[in-house]
Amino acid sequence: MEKLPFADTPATRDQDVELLGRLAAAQMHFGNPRTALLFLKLAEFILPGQTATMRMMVDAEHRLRRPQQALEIILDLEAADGDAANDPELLRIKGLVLAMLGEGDAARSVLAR
Amino acid sequence: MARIEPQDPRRLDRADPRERGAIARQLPRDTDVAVPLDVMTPEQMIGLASIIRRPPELSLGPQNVTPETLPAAEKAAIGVQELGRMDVTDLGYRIASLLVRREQDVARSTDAFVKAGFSELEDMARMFEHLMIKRTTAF
Repeated sequence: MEKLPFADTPATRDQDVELLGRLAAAQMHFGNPRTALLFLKLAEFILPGQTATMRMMVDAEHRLRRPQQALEIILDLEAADGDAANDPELLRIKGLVLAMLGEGDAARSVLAR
Repeated sequence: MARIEPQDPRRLDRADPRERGAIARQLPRDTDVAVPLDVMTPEQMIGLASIIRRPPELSLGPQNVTPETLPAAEKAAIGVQELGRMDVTDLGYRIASLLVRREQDVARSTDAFVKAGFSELEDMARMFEHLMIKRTTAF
């Protein structure tokens, strides 16, 4: 029997998350991080724990000036992916986010890494 | 009063190629190419020597540019370019199929962000529907 195109399978989940990631990237590119974040939340709902989605969410939260949420995702990301702790881009955002939260010393030490 | 000469864009083309570094620009990234050294300026020779001595892990060739090594902004730009290359019908169909697949799951969810994201996607699908109708009725 031919498979229906709208069936929910792991492959279609991957496709959906990829499409939502691209749409979110487009929204970020055109300066609309709010909609990008909504698409990323939907992607996270469909397939939780994807590091690529989480990285984009950190960027979107940072652009939306929501440092607390961005920091929480960074900490989740570091727990899920060991390499994330040494990622220069993530370290930069972490430093900026800590500075926004008033943690000047911690921000300085992160940015100096 | 001094007369200001308009800049002639062809002036650069007529200049001595050694002066405008044309040879260096024409060099491919692959360094194992025979270049007559007597037509190169000392600066170009230094540049070529530094490219040759560059360690492979710092190579500027396209082989080292993978999606993992690209900065986030460039990755996003590539994603946007790929979206731009997609056909409107294809993109609209993909979004519509995503909506059909996830409608029930999202309805069961209590997360306001997820519902709002789904609503944004529905708006986008309507926009694509409108575009397709416009395309099919245009003459």
